[in-house]
Amino acid sequence: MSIGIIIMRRAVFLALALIIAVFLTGFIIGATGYVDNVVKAIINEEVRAYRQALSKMPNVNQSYVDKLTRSYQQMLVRTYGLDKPWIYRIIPLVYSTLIFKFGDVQQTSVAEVAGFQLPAKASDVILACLPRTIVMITVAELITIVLALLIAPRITFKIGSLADRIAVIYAALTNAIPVWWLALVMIFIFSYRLGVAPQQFRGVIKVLSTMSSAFMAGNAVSFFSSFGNLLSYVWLPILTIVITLLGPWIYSTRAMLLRIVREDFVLAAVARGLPQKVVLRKYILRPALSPIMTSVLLGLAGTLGGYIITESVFDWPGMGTLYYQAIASGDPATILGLTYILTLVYVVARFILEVLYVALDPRVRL
Amino acid sequence: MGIRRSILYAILLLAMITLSVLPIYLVAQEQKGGASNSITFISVSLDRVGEAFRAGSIDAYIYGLRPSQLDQFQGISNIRFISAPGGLVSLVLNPAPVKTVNLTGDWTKKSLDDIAKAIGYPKAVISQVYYDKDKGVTYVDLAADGSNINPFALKDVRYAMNYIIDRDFIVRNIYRGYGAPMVTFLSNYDPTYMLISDLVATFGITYNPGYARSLIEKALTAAGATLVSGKWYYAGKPIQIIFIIRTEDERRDIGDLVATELENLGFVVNKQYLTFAQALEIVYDTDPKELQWHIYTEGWGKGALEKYDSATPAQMCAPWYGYMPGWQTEGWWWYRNDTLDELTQKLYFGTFTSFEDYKQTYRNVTAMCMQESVRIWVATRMDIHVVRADAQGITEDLSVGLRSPFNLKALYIPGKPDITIGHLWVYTSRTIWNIYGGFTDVYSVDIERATYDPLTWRDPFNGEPIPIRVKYSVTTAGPNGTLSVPSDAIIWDASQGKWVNVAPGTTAKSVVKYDMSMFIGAKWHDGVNITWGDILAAWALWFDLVYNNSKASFETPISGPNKPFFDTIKGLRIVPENNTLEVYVDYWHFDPNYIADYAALTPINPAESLVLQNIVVFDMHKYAFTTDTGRAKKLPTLNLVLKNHASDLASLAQQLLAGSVFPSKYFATPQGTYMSLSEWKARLQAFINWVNQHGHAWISQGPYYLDTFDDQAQKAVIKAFRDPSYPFNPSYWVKGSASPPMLTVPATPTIVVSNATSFIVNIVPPTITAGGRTTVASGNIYVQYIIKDVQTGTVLDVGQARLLTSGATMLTYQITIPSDITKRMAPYNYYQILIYAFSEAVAVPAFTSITLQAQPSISQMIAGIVTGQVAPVQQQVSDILKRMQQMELELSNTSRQFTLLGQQLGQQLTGSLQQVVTLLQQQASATSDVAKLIGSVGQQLNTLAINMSAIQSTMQRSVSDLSNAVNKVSGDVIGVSTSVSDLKSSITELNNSVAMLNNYILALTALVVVLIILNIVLLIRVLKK
Amino acid sequence: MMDRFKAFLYAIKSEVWSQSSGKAALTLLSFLIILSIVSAIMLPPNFVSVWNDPKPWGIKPKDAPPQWAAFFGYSCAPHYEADLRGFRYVLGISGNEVSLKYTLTYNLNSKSFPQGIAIKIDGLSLVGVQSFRIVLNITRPDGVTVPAVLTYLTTATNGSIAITSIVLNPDTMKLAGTLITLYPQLLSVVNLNDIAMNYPTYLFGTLTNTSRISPLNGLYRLELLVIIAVPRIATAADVNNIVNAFRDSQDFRVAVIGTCYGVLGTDYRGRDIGLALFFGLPIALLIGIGTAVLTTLIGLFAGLVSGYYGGAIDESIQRFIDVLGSIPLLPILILIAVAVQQAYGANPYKPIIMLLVILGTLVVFGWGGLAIVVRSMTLSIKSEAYIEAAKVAGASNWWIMVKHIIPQLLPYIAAQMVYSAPSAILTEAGLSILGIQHGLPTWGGILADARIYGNVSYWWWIFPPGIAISVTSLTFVLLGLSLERAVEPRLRRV
Repeated sequence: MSIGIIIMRRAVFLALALIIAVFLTGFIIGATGYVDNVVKAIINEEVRAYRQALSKMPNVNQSYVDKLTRSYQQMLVRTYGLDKPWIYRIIPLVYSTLIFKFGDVQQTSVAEVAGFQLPAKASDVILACLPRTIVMITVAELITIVLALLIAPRITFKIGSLADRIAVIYAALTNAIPVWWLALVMIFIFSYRLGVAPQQFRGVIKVLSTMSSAFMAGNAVSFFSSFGNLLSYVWLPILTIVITLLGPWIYSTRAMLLRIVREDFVLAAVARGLPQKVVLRKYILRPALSPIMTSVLLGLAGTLGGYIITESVFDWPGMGTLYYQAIASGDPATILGLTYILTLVYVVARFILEVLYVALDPRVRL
Repeated sequence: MGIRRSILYAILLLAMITLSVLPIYLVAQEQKGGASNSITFISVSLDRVGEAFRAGSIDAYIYGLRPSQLDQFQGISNIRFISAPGGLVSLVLNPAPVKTVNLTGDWTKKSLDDIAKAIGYPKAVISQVYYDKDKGVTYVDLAADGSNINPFALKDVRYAMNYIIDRDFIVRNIYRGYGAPMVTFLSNYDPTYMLISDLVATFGITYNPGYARSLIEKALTAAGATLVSGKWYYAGKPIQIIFIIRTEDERRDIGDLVATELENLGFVVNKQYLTFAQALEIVYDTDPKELQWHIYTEGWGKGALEKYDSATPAQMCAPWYGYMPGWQTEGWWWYRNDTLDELTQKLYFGTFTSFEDYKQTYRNVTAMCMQESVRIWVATRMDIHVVRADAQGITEDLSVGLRSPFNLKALYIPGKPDITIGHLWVYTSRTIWNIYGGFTDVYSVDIERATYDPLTWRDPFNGEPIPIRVKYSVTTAGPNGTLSVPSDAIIWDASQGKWVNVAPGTTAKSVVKYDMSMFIGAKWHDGVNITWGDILAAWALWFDLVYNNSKASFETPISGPNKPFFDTIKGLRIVPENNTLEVYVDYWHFDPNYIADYAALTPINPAESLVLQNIVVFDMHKYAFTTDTGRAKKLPTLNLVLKNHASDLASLAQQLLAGSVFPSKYFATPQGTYMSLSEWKARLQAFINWVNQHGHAWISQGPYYLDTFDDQAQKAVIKAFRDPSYPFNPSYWVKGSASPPMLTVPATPTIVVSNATSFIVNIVPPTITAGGRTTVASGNIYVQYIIKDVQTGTVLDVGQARLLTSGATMLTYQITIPSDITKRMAPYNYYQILIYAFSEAVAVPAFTSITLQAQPSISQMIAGIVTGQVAPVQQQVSDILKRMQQMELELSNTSRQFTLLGQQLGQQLTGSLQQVVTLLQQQASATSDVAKLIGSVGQQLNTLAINMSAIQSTMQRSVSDLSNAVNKVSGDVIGVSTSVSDLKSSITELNNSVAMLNNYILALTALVVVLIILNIVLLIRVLKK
Repeated sequence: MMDRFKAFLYAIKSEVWSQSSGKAALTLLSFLIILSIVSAIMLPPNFVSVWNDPKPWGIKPKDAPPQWAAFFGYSCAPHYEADLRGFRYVLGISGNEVSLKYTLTYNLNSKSFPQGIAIKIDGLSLVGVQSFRIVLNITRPDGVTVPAVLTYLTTATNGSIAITSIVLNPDTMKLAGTLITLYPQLLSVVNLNDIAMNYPTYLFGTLTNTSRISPLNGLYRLELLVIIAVPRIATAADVNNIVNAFRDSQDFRVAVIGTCYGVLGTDYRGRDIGLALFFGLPIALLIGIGTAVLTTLIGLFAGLVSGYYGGAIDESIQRFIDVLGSIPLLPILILIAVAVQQAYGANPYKPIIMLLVILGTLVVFGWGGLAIVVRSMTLSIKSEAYIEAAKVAGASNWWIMVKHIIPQLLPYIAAQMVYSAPSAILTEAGLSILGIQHGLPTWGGILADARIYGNVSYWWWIFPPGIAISVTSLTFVLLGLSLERAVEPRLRRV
């Protein structure tokens, strides 16, 4: 069968996997009653607070207090849709999410991550949080990958050299430090003691919203003018993430190249006196390109999910915070929306990889 | 030339004069409005408050810090901690039965024995008997039915739980001292505690696991459980307790503590660490009878300071309110108690007839609630606020600390006109700025309260309502009489939509006459005069919202709870000549200030702002007032601080201005109209200018106005409202800090059985320090004392101390214990005297307790001496001599053993060995002293013989000296022998602990050394290669 | 079987030991294994329940840095504990009361205040007594005696007193009152409540002229009076019973709680972090090695099979990985954690079961990434010439995979296994922060507590577990380095 048909078949199966993933998520949060429990607990708390507020109204008789509290509880049950079993709520929501018509956000705390007030659509909330994570984590990952692809081949080429040893030891040590802990230390040093970085990172939301509105409006001047302002916020988080991610990236890329660096054609190239730059690019990186591209693309797709704890340390409400808040307050529309978008990006990355495997190494037959 | 010089001189002279006059002008007339020029509120996360203070970016932090977060302030010197009660922690027990037997007819009147015979179960397992009138059936709940048991269905077991909570340990270790132990639903931070403190003391609840064990043993064995090697079994199975422990805060540590206590009592504990949603799902969303939980760690917020509390008993003890197991859910088992329901409703709905009736009901409810013990109270947790030490104008409110409006209005830092206050957040999704459905979260309320002055507010130290920007006089005919409402009083008729005179013959229980002269004539922040139009509009719009069907049905979460209040408003009467507003209301309270506080409606926003808000919500249906309606009708909730909401209101004002639409109905009363079209148009224009200039629509009348509000950057700025028409300058708000009364007992009395004694108690009266001056707080002081027998925990006497002298700074009271009380005391028993000093001015009472040992009376003492002591003395002296020889022998062989030990251990332990050896020498020297003592005892003995002859004359004193001396002698001797043998065993024990310590240290040092060497070798090798 | 094992040992000796990194790796690994065996042996049976019970730690300092921090300029109020069971006492008898008087001295010389005073009594049973009273008086260096700093009174229930475990703290309100009567000038600076809430500052401090409280350094004499009343005139037998009862009690100590403690400092509950690290080592190795080995093996096998066979098998495995990778993991973990808690309620092994279940879930969801990369490598290896040759020569698929493809993959596989061990420990820490806790003292748990309760200035909560994890990761990385040579002969120094 020609490659074209295989690729097409693969695309269909990928799409199928995407739909199954979203359905399964819906099933998990619905059938196990996870979402219902959380929402019921929240309703319980709100009814108790309402009854406590009533206690400030002397001169009210008991039946009136009961009637009011019960009607308030019924209103909440209706608004959260708990009067219908989960099947009628979650499954139609899965359908509408699959056709990009995300549901409405139910919980105020979820809307608040994006800075909105209710009523808010899950799609707006996700689109508001996405740029914040991209500008912090995805950019940091990109920088790390570029650095790793520069350093790793060199140290693998001269395996066993001092540089190789240092890189490996650095990788071992940074792999043991949690990102969120290093973030705490960096803020402590740079923001408070040296005063080089800002103490409150929340301002970045304002900068990003002006940039995105400028981008929509298309006036480049205000877009680039607030770029400097953005940099003043974003350099510390990026530096923190690069420090912790660089070690693992160098180590795993080096491990991929180990197989190739001692191949005969590499030795032959060196023997032929080709300059090191050419040897590295044509004879070492080229054959290992498919595993490298796999980890690069999947790595970048993964960053969109955000880092829950690091974002809370930087008080930087991105996709990680949104994901955790949606789960903690049981908001089905946002959970399904997030799963759908992240899986979509992942599936597209997988599809590109499939095409790349063949393009990069014609000998490969699926 | 001369002329120019003289002109120069003249100018100089003139300048000198004006310059000298200027400062006087400034100082004499203190500025009106807020104490600082501006206050900026910013959001600071909890773990960075210390750094923010160190960097000087905030001057105060008004979100409650947890005690464990205080260490970040080490090394920062110029700050002060102000604590206020933050929340309460309790344990709720599941009293549900394992089986319910239904009996027809009303059995509640019959004795337990008859019921037990009727249902065929032993009397001890009956936990609750409830008669359902409509069904005519009595439900008999059983704590154990032969196959399984719920220990907490038995009241005695529940009550015993009070004694296994180590509240001092919890307050001291878990809350780091920032807390107050609680044994009932009130703590000594609640003013109403004054009424029940003696009652609570009689229960004598302290940490006493022994007593708890005895109570449980009695109850459980009666119910058929057996104690096997320290573990409780029922029907062959160990009794298991499911303990739901919340993990988010200190409740996890408290849960662990109580779980160990339960294991020590012999129960098997199934600990479940759960977060918010999972815990609530098991405890509140399952029928208690399924017994999926037995104990749950509950947390409660702390309400405002309330002098005469009416809601807490209902909330914490009564089934009808819905917070007791069963949670008022249809079809589930409920905890029932009709008497508690009836009494708490009387308190809650204010149907008491006098203060005495209120006090007696409150005490009965407290006693019943403690006996039932469905809720076991643990502690009040203190929140800590931080402020710069050099800040002035502080008011330390006993219930909300620095968040009190008095504090925010008067706070200033000398030399720093613009101050910054940190809060956890400035804006969250629940921060709604609109007076009808908003201000439900602490972040909006704290800033709002600095921008407006209420009619009345609660005194920061005792919770009594006090007038703020009004003076009022209250006349009442309550509790059952009525006053006639004058015919020219007016009421808002929602159906016709206009003010009408009240129907003839309307009556009301009370009338409050408010002197509004500090409002009328002053200005709103946007420069518009405050007129009667504003006050009428405020009342009219509320009446409309509650009684106009279309409005009420649109916003039921507002109209529902507020309707009962407006039902009691019988009529309003405006007397513009002397600026008074009379409010006729069907409400009575034995404290007139409560009536004035009940009927006060403060005009917070100007009339035009209220009208615009009502139009945009009720007529255009573009916004909702509450988040609930917003969520139900898919509408945004109106929020005056958000830019786009404010500009919507401004454009609506523009339309009204263009079409000169004037809603005169709110301002026209049968007696006259209080708003003209031109004034209305000027107000709309002022509103539009304000929105354009400030970007928000919050206009009010307080000492600060809201300048800017940036929700995305979490920043809000309020600026001082320096308008001369504003009545108050900053010192008006400074209430300072109150120190509660201090109670000291200068001389602890001695109690001699069957003799009356009395002793003095010194009271330093409560003082209030404001602005550097300390004044004694007025209001009388009650001193109560309770005498308790420590052995049995029973109360012997309760009484009031008698005032002896009342000086300016010191009051002395006398407590007398009559002889008929001391007659009931046994010699050498311990008795505790608890002394409370309550002042009406400051809510926190002073408390101290002294513990005394009852001394035997003289007759008892003589009898004791003659029979007990003289005879055995000779026999003991002979023992002493025998012991002495034996001791010499032991001393020599211990030293031999000792040298042997020295060789074995080797040098590095000689240091500690030296120490032991010196210890031994001291001991040896001590024995030599004793030898000398024996000698002196010998002489004493023969002097004793001489004295015997002179015994009658010095009977009283010498007899007690004699008995002590003799005892001391025999005591010393016994002490010596025991301490020597004790020394021997301690040496052996020291021996093996030294050995164990030795190899532990050796192993550890060896391992560490190996590790370090290895690392160094490795790093060198690796790097070198 | 034995000779294969001998061959394996020989291979290890010759290949790994020969290189310096190999030597370092093996010694570190053996050291870690020995230490974890020692810690497993020395682990007292009820350690986990004692670890979770706040009471025994009530007399230890909280959030205290290690003792040796004093050398780096950290102001340390010394922590002093005296075990009174073996301590010298003066016996006194008067009437029906037997009194034991202990005199202890505490030398304060630092810029910070002690955290408090406490007395701990465990397992004391007195028979035939009427009441048991304790009074602690402290004489400060300035000669002033503060009476009744700590008092305790309990009376016998039917003739005997049994104390299972109690930690006594001063009655702060009464102590504040006594301090004010002794030092009235304190009132100019603070009120009664402030003194009551942090009494150590005023008990161990003095008012300087700049109206600030600074520590009063010098020798404090603690006089502890234990008075036991018997319902008759005390005889020699009574005295002996009482003295023996105190000596045979499980614990009877008085402590002046300092601000520095032990080798590695204490956490927010006063628990020794050294203990958590020492007894957390075996669990950390279990988490690290367990998850690393399992995820790598499953990932290797899945990637290899789907890369080598291709077609329907490849499609199904890859799509299964895609679905597995995109389902949100957090709600599943929360649900499982709750289910296990309810299923194994009172079972003493519940914490370990919960940990294993959490690790199991992480393994089930964790192997996807590796499988995808292994598949991409297999695809390019599969198309090499010598594979075609082997296939033509009639080698079975299985043979080709084991003999030809796996050796090619081994450097990457070794690297990944080595790498996922420390990150597994950190993931466990992250989960504890997000509320999924099992109650075992683990390295991740300490880091989680640092995030929830501490702040960044508590370095002794962060560095020790950080160093411990990096030493473990260093061990595996060095092992990986030395294995490289053994696995890929052509990598020998050329």
